[in-house]
Amino acid sequence: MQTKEKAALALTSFLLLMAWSGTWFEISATGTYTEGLERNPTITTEYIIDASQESFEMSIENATPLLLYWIEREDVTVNAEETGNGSTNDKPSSEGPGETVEGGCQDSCLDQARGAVQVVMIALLASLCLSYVRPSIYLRTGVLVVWLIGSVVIVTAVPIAAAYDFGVTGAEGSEGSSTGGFDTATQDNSVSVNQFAHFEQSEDAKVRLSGIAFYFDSVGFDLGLLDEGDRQGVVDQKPSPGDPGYESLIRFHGELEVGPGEILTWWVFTSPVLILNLLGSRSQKLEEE
Amino acid sequence: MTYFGAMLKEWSCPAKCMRDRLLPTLVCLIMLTSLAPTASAMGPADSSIWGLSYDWAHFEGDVQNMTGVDTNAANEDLEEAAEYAGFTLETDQVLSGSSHFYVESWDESDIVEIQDIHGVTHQVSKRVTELTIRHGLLADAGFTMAWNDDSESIDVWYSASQEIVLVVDATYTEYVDSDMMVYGADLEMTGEVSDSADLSMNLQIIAAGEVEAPEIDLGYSLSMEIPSLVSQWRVDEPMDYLYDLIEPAGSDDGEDEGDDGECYLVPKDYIAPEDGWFYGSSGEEYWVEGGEDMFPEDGTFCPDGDGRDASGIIEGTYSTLTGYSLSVGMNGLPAEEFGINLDVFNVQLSDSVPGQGTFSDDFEMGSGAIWDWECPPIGGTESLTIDNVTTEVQCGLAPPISPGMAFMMGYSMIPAFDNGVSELSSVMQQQVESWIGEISGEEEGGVFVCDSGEEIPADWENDGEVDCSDGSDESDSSDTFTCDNGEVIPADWENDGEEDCSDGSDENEGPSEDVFEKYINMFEALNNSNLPKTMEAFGEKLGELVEDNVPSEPVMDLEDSCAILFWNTDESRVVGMAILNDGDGDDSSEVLLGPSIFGVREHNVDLNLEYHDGDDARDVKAGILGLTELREIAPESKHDVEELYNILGPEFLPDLDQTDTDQDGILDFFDEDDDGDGLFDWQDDDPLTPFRSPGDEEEDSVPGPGALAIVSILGAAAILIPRRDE
Repeated sequence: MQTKEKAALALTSFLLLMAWSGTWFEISATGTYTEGLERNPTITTEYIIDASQESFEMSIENATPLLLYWIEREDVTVNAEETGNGSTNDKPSSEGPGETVEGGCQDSCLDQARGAVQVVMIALLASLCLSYVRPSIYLRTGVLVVWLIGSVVIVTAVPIAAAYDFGVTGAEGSEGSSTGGFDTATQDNSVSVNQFAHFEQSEDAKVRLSGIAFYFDSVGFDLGLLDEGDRQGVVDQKPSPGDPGYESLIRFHGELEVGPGEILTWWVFTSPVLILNLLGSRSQKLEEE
Repeated sequence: MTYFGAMLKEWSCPAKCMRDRLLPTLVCLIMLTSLAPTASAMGPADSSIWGLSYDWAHFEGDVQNMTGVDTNAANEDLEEAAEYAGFTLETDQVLSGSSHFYVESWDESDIVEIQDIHGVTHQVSKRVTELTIRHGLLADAGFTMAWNDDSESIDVWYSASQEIVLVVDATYTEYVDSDMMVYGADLEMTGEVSDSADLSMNLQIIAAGEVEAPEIDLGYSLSMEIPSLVSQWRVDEPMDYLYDLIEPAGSDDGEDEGDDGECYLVPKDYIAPEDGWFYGSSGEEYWVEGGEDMFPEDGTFCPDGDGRDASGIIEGTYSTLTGYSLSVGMNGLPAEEFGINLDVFNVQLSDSVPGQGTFSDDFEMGSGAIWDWECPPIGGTESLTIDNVTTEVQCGLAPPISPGMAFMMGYSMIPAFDNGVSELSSVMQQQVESWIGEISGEEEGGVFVCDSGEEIPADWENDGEVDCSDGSDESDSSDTFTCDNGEVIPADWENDGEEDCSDGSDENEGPSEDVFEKYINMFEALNNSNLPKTMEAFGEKLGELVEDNVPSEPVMDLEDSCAILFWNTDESRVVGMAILNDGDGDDSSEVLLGPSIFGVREHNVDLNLEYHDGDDARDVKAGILGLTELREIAPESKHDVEELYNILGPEFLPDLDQTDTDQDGILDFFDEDDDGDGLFDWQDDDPLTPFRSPGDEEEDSVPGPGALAIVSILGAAAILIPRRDE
């Protein structure tokens, strides 16, 4: 092994070490109640996964009106669903979402994803080392294949595993949330869409360098804030400003950014070494020819 | 300056040129104003002023002086007892900051007119009282503990800190006539109060081959700022409470009877055990507080003096800013074992609620002074020395500030406070009610809609009794389970190992029995180790050591203390106070805190609580008026946490600034004199630059221009430039 190959190995090891110790997956979100609640309460959350732990941070600014809203609003969907769904003794034939989780991972899906990342990192280093010790176009192409597999694992396996562990699998039966599911992880009593009259929502997504950004806007009249006798009137006729029931108008804006974290940056930094390795093999082949 | 000299020479010009001089005159006035001190909230030089100051850095020493208990020795006892028992314990606490309470009052000779609530105009003069309060406190405490047996160990790291600040500036202007009858008052005040605390604990327990290392951080912050509060009180009829402080002692057996002097003899049988109405001989009604204190045996009831009276109307405006913050951080908790896929969890709630409003209310106040209150040998009339002048004062008990001021502050702050916290208290109240409802099992206001459309209370559903006319409230199934999302499934599907609710809430993800077994094993392993014996030995040794540290008899018997106030009967105002204590057991008290009283000895215990009056108090007040921030009232440079840092390590101050300006080996954060110029940082205007000799200082001794000075210079330039053009 030549000196420059040793240096390339050392550099790759360093970059993989940095990738391992950086953040693996990040979700950051900011949601603001832009109308209906005083002082526009804002929820900011950040969910980070790294090699050893999952951390969740949440802060609520101007929290008092939001806490009051959560406490005061009545869940008007419960009775409707009870009467609507009724009860039945027929066991659903389809498997529940939990079973999918159980079936998908033995223990924690994220731990398995961590194991997979660890394996591809070791495999990348080992294949690179091997390609230097026994240079061949197949081994060097193999390095590239391992790198591509690693990229797929980092970009897809980690977030999917986290989603499975959280039970956020997009399973049927989800009735949706007036905040786009934004606050489902923050409090049990999330505000469901069925709670609202004249509910409208719009969503948008943009791809950025740092990840994918989702935008969510919703507006509707929260029936849970109204007296029971006033609800039907709001349902029948959308109130205008100043009309009775207009005070139940709630407007929400949320932004959520999902990104792979520092691990992908450091992983991508290893690619020049691998490309040089591949180019080196081609020039060596040409020289041999 | 030439221009201004010429302007003065031309001062006698005819009226037609006055318009031309208006602008230069205004600029001159601004320039003169800019030279005046900005903090001009001091009263006149002949005002009556007194107050108290305390430096909390002396607290431990004062506790030792008063009780004989040495807190440092107590810490050493703890550490020694731990060492004896076989584990290590290090602990320390640091307290610093300062508190100041000053009352300054003076009379103004100008006669002004005010109207009472009936619109009647009265000619009165002003009596001004300024209340200045500054209180800032920094407190830190922490300990580390490490115990280990052959295979078990416990390590604890604990740190707690608290910061408190209270700033009040109130100016009270009372309107009185020549007989000291009060016709109303105005109050202007600003204030701020805040309290914040943080607590961190890291724990590592190794037992039965298992390791648990949770880290917990808790914090809160509460604050209320009153940027502006202005109120006005106007009387229904003149109030006589200042007159009480003029009446000669002994004229009414120490009881304040009010100006009408009508009292009722109250026999013991008449004493009401509870609050209630008292009916006068002419049929008047008085709401009185019950109990023997109000109606002593063979006592009298004097409505005007003892009860609260309607005294007019108060109205005002306020603005407030109420804030709070709560934070919880957890790391390393065994969350996954309890079905939570999180290792680090941080939640923070905060709010800042601005408020403003007006208020108008009936103003009721009580007043009174006790003339015959004595603290032997002090009582009756005494001679105080204030600014080297001997003043005759009356001893007794009376409010240290005008009763009108105290009541006005109370009446004005209640609506401001209510406005600030009403939203938050509503949240808390509803949440508590919800919890109580859950605990008591009461469902709140839920309804069940029958298939026929009837509505019945939700808790009537499946209660074994048919309540709907179609019987739909009683499920055919023997029992049902309602998922968190509202779906209903048969009860026997709950916890059957299969998720039937779409949200999975039918499967209880509580901890498995293995988890509990793990903790039971850890507990048993610790119980079987030498931990119980170690703690027993620690307790016994500590008991012995503390016994040596605590004196058999207290240095000072605080029960023998007595507080007394002094007022000047000529001025009808309190001019000072004293706390006395019998230090030598001769049944005669000495002055522990207070002014120099002729013929009365000082107490032999030297407290660092300082009493100031006259010019001394004026100087202190001038020094504290500009202090409004916590770090100004309680300088961090005085808060010596170096020993605590040595105990708790870098985790205590993770962002510690490593700067050492004077290169003396002590980091600036711990150094009381960062620049090494011999001045403590809290006394040094520029703590990071060494003090220069007077010769050097002359070079840059020109005071920096303030904003007003800059405006006036620009104004002067604007005037001069056109003149030069002419």
